[in-house]
Amino acid sequence: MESSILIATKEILGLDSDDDAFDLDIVTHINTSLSVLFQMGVLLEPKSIQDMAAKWDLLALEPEVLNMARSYIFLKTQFLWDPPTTSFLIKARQDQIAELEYRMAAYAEHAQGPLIPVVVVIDP
Amino acid sequence: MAIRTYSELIQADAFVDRFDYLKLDGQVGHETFGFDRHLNQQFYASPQWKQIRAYVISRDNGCDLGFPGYEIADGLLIHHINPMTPHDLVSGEEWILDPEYLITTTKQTHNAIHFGADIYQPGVPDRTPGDTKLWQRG
Repeated sequence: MESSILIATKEILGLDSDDDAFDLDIVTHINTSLSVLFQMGVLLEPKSIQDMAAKWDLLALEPEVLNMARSYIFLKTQFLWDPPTTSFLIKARQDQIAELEYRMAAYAEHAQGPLIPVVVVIDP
Repeated sequence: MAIRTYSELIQADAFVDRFDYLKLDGQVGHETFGFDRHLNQQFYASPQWKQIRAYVISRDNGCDLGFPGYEIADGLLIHHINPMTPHDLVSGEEWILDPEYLITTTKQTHNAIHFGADIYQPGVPDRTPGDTKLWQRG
């Protein structure tokens, strides 16, 4: 498995690792996916990449959720960068993304426990 | 009957070769669903099937027989490369949910695989002089 997040994503998208013509677009979409993962509670800190130097270790995830996170980043980036052209493919990709979001959210909730509301008492 | 697989299918570089690999030509004497159709309707409504269906469509980029350029806009089906029987469903055979034995196709190609009808091949037809002047043809 390619260790660079950017190179792995480009290979899945069918791009040559040396071809940097679309790097700005792809890095932007990868960072969008990482922001969603942080918002879902899968990533404990906000993460972003700049170039091919960023490795999968950056995400600091357990293997069982890292595999889902990889697929999620690939699918989300593919959906944003090369949108499907038929309704069947749009629906299939959306379903895959939604399933991964559900499973990773369930993992995050299980691993970190449910969010406990914080009650702030203001002394009058 | 030889077991067909997705991995072997995608080795074929031409759409027609993929079709030839898959075609069954309505094999006589093989068990079909018939009055047991409720079984496969139950199966096709299951979440497991819907999940694997989305995966297969995504893997094949929504193309007929997974062939690039043959995007399906209408009537998409997921075809079991090796025909499924009621017994396979009842006994819960794992291969019926294995993407290695599934392929995206159109209703037309699916019928052609099973019953030997003509296959539809999208693309630009051969042009002839005056072929846009319908009143001058023939």
